[in-house]
Amino acid sequence: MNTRNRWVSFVALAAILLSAFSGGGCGSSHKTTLKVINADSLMVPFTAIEKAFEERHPDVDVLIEGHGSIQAIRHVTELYHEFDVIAVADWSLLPMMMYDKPMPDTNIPYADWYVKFGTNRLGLAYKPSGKYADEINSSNWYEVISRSNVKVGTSDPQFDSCGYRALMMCQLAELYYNDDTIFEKVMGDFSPKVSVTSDNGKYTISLPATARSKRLTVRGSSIGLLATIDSGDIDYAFMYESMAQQHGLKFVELPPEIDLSSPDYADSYGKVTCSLSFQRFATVIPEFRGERILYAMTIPKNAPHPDVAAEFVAFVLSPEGCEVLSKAYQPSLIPPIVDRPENAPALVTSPS
Amino acid sequence: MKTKIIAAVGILLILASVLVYLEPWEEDTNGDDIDWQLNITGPNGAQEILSYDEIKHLPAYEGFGGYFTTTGLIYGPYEVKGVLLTDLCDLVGGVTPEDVVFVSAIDGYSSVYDYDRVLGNFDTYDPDTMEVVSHGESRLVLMYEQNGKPLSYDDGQPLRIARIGPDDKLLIEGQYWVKWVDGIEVEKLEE
Repeated sequence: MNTRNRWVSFVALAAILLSAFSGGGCGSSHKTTLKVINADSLMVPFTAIEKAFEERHPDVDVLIEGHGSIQAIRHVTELYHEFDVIAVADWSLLPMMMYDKPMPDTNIPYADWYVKFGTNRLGLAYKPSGKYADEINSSNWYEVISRSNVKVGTSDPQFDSCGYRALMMCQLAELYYNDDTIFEKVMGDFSPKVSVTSDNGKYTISLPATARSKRLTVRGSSIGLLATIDSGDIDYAFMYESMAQQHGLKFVELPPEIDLSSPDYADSYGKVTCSLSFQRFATVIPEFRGERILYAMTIPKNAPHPDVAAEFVAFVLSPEGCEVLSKAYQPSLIPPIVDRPENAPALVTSPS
Repeated sequence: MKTKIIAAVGILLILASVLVYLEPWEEDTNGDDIDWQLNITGPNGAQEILSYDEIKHLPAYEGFGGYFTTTGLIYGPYEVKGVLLTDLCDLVGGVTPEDVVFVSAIDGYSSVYDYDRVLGNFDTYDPDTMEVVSHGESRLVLMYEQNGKPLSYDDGQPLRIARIGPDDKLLIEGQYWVKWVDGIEVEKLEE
């Protein structure tokens, strides 16, 4: 049977079904489906948010979908999938990829506001059974993980913001500990080599397209690293604190001068840039400047349910939402910061 | 009233069975009418443009493979049929350990494979434990069939990169399974 005939049959059967039920008293409850696309590292906290929001809004079914942050935005702006809310692990991606990108056949950009709502810090995740677990601390971490019998993992800088941020952190560590051997010791065995050049107090880390490491275990995402820590194949992994806590791992908290968490060291973070020689996405120049880690959300202009989406975003920002996030080990930015508040829904800028 | 309800339920069940048989939501295509061009460029500038049909007439390689996403969702393992990436590179001068292969897709996404990966050597994961396990023969292919059917749009229609093994069902990280492939370029490895 060809496609046309199948569809004719389908329509005919659907008509029969509709007539069978019309006026028959078979009422159905209608739920609004709210589609949220978010960074992988938000999966655990947003699953908790989904549950809490649905409890308060029984007429709404929230569906969350996790991707790398760039890919999450691309689903809307390049693959033309409709979502109600986008939440990413790097706020700078939203204006870069959405403010100047018009929706098809319009002059209207996909977004013209965003709200920074969450923070994080970078450090080392480990199990208590990892080598030297009783010894490692914020002062000696780079010396411990450089030991020849210690296995270390990181996510791939080509795919994951945590990966290029780990490179940045090691360069910042050289400045903070006044030791110019740290980067080489910890990250130095990539082939082709990862180079660091300095100019006027600014540092550029250049990563070749196919850089692979013999000593480091490199995975496409933190999820891949979690299984590797769990199996004992690696002792430590560069990871966001939230991810480590969500999965029951211990975490070496590093000084705020290098962990990309503090507003007080923005200038210092900005001294380091990571440049990837391979442009994975046609629309994203792969050069990332060191900045405080801040998560952000927006509602795309073509969101199917913008009003419910605004309620969802407002809930994430509310004290109640912050508490839900906190229980899932995702720290909130308090107060949240709205870019171009004149364009944002009133519920987001003036929550009740 | 009771009889009417029973009759309605009966009709409903019959109609549902018919729908499942008809599968009106499935695209009825064998792939013969797909209009697609694959551009292959060699390290010395040699170029070859192949249609979907021409690709299907190249020697085929079959096996099993799957992948997992960055959130841990597992897809496959699938029964995969396609053309070895090395065979496609051979059309434009071949690929050597001094080369890398860039694969691009129509949506603006691309991926890069060093020689080792072009040959199919990836970290492979056991789908049950998600631990890295060793693998036997392993190849990288440009796939055009999945489980005996042409690829659906969501699976990367019409051409997708896949790592497969002849008899294993191991997974790799999903970012290497590039969908909607329209370009392959062999370049000299950067120093």
